[in-house]
Amino acid sequence: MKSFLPFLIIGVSTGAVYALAAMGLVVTYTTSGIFNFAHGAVGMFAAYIFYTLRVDVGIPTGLAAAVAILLVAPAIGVLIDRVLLQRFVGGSASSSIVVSLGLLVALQGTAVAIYGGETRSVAPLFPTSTFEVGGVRVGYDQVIVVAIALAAALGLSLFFRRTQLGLKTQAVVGDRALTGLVGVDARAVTTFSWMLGSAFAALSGVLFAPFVGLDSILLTLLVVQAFGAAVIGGLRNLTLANAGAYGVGIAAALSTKWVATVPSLRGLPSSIPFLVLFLVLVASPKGRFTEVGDSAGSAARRSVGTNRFPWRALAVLTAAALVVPSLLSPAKLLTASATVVFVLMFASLGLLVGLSRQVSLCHAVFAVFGATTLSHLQSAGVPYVLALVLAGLAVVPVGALIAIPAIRLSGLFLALATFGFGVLAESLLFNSAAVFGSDGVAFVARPSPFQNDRAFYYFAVAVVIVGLIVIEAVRVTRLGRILRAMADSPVALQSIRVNPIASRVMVFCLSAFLAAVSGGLLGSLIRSMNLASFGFFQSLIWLTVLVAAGASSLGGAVLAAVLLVTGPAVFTSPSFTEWQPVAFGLGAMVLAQAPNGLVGYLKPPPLADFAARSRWRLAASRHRARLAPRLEEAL
Amino acid sequence: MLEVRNLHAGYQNLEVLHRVDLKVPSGRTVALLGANGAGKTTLLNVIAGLVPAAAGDILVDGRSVVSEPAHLRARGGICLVPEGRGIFRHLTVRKNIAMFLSGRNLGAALERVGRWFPRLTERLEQVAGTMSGGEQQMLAVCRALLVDAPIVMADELSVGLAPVVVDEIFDAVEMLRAEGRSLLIVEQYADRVLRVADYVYILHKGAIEFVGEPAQLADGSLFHRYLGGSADVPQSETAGGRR
Amino acid sequence: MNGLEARDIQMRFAGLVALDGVTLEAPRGRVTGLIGPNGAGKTTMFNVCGGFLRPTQGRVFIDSDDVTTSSPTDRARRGVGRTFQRLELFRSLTVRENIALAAEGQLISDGPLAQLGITRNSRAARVANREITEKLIDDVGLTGLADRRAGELSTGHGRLVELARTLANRPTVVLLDEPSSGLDPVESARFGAILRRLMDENDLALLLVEHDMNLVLSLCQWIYVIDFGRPIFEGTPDDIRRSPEVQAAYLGKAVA
Ligand SMILES: Nc1ncnc2c1ncn2[C@@H]1O[C@H](COP(=O)(O)OP(=O)(O)OP(=O)(O)O)[C@@H](O)[C@H]1O
Ligand SMILES: Nc1ncnc2c1ncn2[C@@H]1O[C@H](COP(=O)(O)OP(=O)(O)O)[C@@H](O)[C@H]1O
Ligand SMILES: [Mg+2]
Ligand SMILES: [Mg+2]
Repeated sequence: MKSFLPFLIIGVSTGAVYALAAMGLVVTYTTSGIFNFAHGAVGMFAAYIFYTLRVDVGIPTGLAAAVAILLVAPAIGVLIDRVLLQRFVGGSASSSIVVSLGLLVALQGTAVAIYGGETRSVAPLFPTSTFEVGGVRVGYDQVIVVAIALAAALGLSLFFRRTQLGLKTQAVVGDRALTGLVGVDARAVTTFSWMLGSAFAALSGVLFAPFVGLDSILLTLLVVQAFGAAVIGGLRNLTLANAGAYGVGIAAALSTKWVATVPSLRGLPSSIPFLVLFLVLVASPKGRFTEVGDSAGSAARRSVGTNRFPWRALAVLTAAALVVPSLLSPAKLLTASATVVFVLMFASLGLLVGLSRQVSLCHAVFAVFGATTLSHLQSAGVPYVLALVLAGLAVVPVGALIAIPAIRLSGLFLALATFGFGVLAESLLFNSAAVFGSDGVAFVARPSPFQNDRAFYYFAVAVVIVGLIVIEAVRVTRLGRILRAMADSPVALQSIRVNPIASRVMVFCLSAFLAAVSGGLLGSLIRSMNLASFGFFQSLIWLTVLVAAGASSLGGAVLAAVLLVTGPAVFTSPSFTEWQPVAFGLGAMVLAQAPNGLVGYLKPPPLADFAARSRWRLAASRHRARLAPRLEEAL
Repeated sequence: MLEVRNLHAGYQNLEVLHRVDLKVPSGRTVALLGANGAGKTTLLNVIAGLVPAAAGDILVDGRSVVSEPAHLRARGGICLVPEGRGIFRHLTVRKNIAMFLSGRNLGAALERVGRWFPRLTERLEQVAGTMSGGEQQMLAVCRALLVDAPIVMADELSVGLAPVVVDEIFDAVEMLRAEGRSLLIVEQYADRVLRVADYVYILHKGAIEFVGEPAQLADGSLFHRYLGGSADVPQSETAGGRR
Repeated sequence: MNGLEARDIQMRFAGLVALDGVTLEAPRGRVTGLIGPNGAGKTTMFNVCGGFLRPTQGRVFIDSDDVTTSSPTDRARRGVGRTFQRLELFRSLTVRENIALAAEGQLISDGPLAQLGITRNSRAARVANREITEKLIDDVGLTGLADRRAGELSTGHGRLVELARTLANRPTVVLLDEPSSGLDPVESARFGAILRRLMDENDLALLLVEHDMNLVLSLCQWIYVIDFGRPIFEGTPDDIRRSPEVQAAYLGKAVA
């Protein structure tokens, strides 16, 4: 027993850190309907402000903390709600996820632009002296953090259970329109929710900074480890989230003790939060996870794309792709090829996000597996095209592995399961020799007749066009219609003899297949792929770019590829690159709130609209001409 | 008094209401009838502030509220029991009632609710969305009874209620009337609402086609002309006989 | 027996017994009514019959086959179609797409290839589909609205879309949960006519939950009454009219 005590103590104090973060996630989610990936980023930003006030301005520590937590953070909350989320309507998982991812990127970019990228150390807030319990040294600061976490838990649960404002925050997420009808200002309540959530994030940020140092990435990602704990509470139950947080903390600490002797498992302790996230989500009984927010409100605004096969768009696209190389210098050809391949990658993601409204946050994993499998098959002597197809097929079971258990999950929860899987795959599988080989680099050859850049470009165009045809064909088939119907009402689908699960798994697998093929092409393009090529964060960025560009049409996928690949290659001035993430994040936030992202704005309004409008105007004026009797007469 | 003048409204690219004029004099009950899709719900939602008005004015006791957001109109005395979803489905019955009251005495209110719908007080801790359709509707109706708004608008109150409960709902309407509130009622059971109404409006394809007293509808011909209208009636067919 | 049969159904939700020993039969060729006060357990009974809830006790049969444990999709394939008390529309699809999606289900099997539209006689199927879809749109009177998104319709029209969608699947057992709520009087009457014609043209088992007593009493040949999850009465419409306990528990002044 004695030997466990130190780990237990470490576990509890880590647990307190997770608990604060998890509570913050639960608070923002239940009161704003947004699962805030940027929660850690808000805390990080507040921590920098705190540091500036304390060190650069020289305000006493307590006051600096109070200003950061009680003034600056709520102000950030107001800014987020009133300026950045002005047109946000809940209900769609992808848009709420992307809104918060955009915020994350913007905040982190701002911090780096202002404070630079290097880690600063922060003087402790609390006495660092220790006392002894059962032969183990315990720091007073650890005790204080645990005490604060417990006090916060108590305060929050009282707030939600006992106060009218707490009740209002819950009501607003469920039904905004009705909140207005009962005389409550929904906007004010939402703004308050963001102020509260941000203050909470700031509290965690300021508390943790002395322990991990002031580092924009570390502090931002700290909260990611609390996702699992938050999910244990179904993202809404504070008590369970707290219990989960301490559980995860202790489990992670204990596992360090056990794996110390097994080198191949050294990735395990840090993966425990994500294992918990993934397993809790896929292993829980159906109906355990339901989302807040009313989907009815946003249904009318949602764009689900058309049901016609875009012959013309595909023809134009092909023609353009064939002409491009003659307009470009050979040096730019690599960028052009990458753009082309990413069109397929985004289209495969769009099949999920835009058409079936399932969010994948592990698409990069599919791409990586595609490339590494291709590499393995090549070394086994399989001819290129066959190897590429087989590599795609090999990833299908991986897609099914996530899709089948996760299939009972809706929107946000499916997204979180894929996120957990993405992180796990990176930390546990990518390290193993089976994926990247023993030296961590997988070499991917190009097909023999297409060795030079120009030839390979054409090869990529051919593969991508075939892929796009498949995707567009799916949209117009029965499967496409089923997928569009599914997000509206799975029960109704069942009642007309459609098995929605089969359709969801099928589209997930198809998407994984195409992503793997794009991954293989990317690998061939740069001729190798390594551990660092596509981390889990890439998946998040891809989703963000796609949703900002427009997830439900071919045009969106093309635009996304151009934005992701071509944009950065064209704008290279240093002052621009410094602020680029900020512009990107803010832009994504705004565009994710539009019905169909950026492409939605590029299209002229369809003629039918004008026709409809003028028909109504006509009817109205006709009516006016033969004027209804005046009211006064009758009353 | 509630007054709507010259109102035009609709959705994105569709104008649904054309030049609607309507008056609910203080303490009176007005029935608003019309075929499916005529625009009744839209009109009520515009008055409550859920759907913006494109043109025209809405007056409460002579004061224009057309530019106010929904919550101010609610505080200003307009209470709408909306079609379909008048409750917070994810909150418990108790929390719903607490929301309706916005902070006022919950205990006394629960007692009153118990008198009207004893079934609801047995279910205080049940999540409202898991109750039966009729039970949910009872909860929605409670709101109109609990808040003391001078103007009450009800959109298809009796939908999904058993006949005995419909009786109770109409008793409740009588009660509201007796309290001197102005009522604007959209109802599926036209004959029943006509029994309590002082005035009737018929809305047809987004325009008021008839204003009068219930007695004028007694022979049923007007009824058929306007309430028979369905989506497939071509526009020209209705251009004929007017009042 | 051909049609639907539910025997001795019990359904508990944490601490609440919503159904307790309800038995009902809805044979083909008959319109069967299920009425009862709010919260009596009618929708729960539908959910049990349709496979959306697993009863804690009792059995459900379709055409004499025990289907108690099979999924909603499975039962739909055996011919059960239903509408929902709270509208369940494909809100982002047009009215026509809503109905066509259901119509296809009959003609195209649900294998993976069929879902992608790769079936041998798909052209003929597509034509048949279109015909059925257009006919249903006409029948329920939605012609002018066929290209509107279902989410934009008024509630009454939504009900009609749901009815047409259910029928497009060509079910043999039809469960309608308050289909006329939200319909105006004329549409209600038309609705009754549609159901009557439907019964004449097909060998259907129709189970109707409805609070509009005119519709129920004129349409049904046999009516079950439940209250607090227990059966309290069954009989013909005339029996119902004469029964004092149904009067007291349910009808009130509606049918004097
Ligand atoms: N998921 C659930 N969890 C808990 N209780 C439930 C659930 N579903 C239904 N109930 C309860 O079971 C009882 C029966 O509900 P049901 O919806 O079957 O009634 P109903 O007869 O259809 O009534 P109505 O005519 O009002 O629609 C009600 O008291 C309801 O509150
Ligand atoms: N959210 C919406 N978006 C677009 N059109 C709508 C929406 N809601 C209603 N409509 C249209 O407005 C018209 C009037 O509908 P509504 O006011 O609900 O009718 P009623 O309540 O009289 O049955 C209908 O043609 C309907 O299709
Ligand atoms: Mg309506
Ligand atoms: Mg019901």
